[in-house]
Amino acid sequence: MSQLSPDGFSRRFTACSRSLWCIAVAILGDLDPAEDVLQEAALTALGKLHQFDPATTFTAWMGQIVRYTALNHARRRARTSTSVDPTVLDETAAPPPVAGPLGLTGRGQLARDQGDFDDDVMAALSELDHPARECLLLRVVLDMPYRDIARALDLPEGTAMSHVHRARRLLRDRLSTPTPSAEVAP
Amino acid sequence: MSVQPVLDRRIDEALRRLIRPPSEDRLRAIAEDAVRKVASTRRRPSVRRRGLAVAAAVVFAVGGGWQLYQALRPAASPGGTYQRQPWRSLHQVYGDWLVDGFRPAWVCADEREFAASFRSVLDQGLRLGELPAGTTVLGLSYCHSITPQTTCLLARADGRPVVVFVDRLERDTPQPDPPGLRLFRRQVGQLVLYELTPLEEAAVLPSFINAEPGPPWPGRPPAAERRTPP
Repeated sequence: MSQLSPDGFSRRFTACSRSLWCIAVAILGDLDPAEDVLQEAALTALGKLHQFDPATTFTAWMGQIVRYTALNHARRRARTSTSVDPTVLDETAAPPPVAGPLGLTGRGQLARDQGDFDDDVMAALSELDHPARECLLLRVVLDMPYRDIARALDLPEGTAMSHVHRARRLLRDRLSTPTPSAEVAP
Repeated sequence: MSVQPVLDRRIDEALRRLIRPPSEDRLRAIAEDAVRKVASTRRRPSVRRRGLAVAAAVVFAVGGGWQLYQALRPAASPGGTYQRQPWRSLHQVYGDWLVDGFRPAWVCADEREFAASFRSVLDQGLRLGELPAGTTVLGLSYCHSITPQTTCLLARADGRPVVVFVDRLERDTPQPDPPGLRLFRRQVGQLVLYELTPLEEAAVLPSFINAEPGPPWPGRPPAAERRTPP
């Protein structure tokens, strides 16, 4: 089994990096740290190049590493998200920027004129499980064919399809029902 | 006219607007940076690395002496099925195996060997009943999680990697909630089983059967108890 060279890795990584970014976002529920996670995953993968079997799909192998790195990142973030240091609490006492359920804070990711619908979409998206979110983002954001989604996530094509259909149905159900906040809005 | 296609289109447009991948150049830079970092680390061993190398040499020398002592002294017990591993949480083990390609240590030839694998270590055999469609057992591995004798079954359900950790019931310890995954627990005879999965339901856990002689199994085993909230 010939080992992938660092240059070969770089080319393959770049070729599938948009898919990997979507996988990271789907796990993290946040856009900001996705690039850091990709960087960390690339470093991990470079240390394990000898384990990559060229007969298998690079995107699926790399996707697993991204997924694991993102889960670790989310775990670290959960540990450090609360602070009991009074100084820090004082500093953070000011109202935080409006954050959507996926942590989108308006730092370039959200349009200024975003409406309630966008908020509701992100809220509904955050209710999906990871596999459904990964499949949906690859399908919608990258317009990927189901065959490629299946290869990227190492899933049967039918499973990828059913994840997307289920995710769409859940989003539809959620967004076609008026939310409590919408009912009380003036 | 149905509102479904209209709503779907609005959702898709919102997702594309809100979730935009970085530019290709930026993504290429991530890969190139990583390659550069790894290359420079390999070329110039840091002081810390050199220190580690010296420490490793010392450990190797001491370890060699210990190995020699072990080789020369009479064997204390035949056991030795497991290589001593450092303790890792169920979640860490799952993650490490994913990165390593999710391959079992070995695959049992038949049901008898499968039962014997558990019996020899945990004093109780296990069998697998009918598995749900889309679930495939890959094989067995060991890890040091609940105890150093934790025996694990690796499987794929709907294409997703799933691990069942098995140990003696009396050695069971509370397991923390795994981030981003779900943990299900079940008892089978004197064994405790945990299934760690990215899926909503336990796929393999309900199919485990006590392989030891005893009263006939009353039917479908009870559903696994969910340990983590959705």
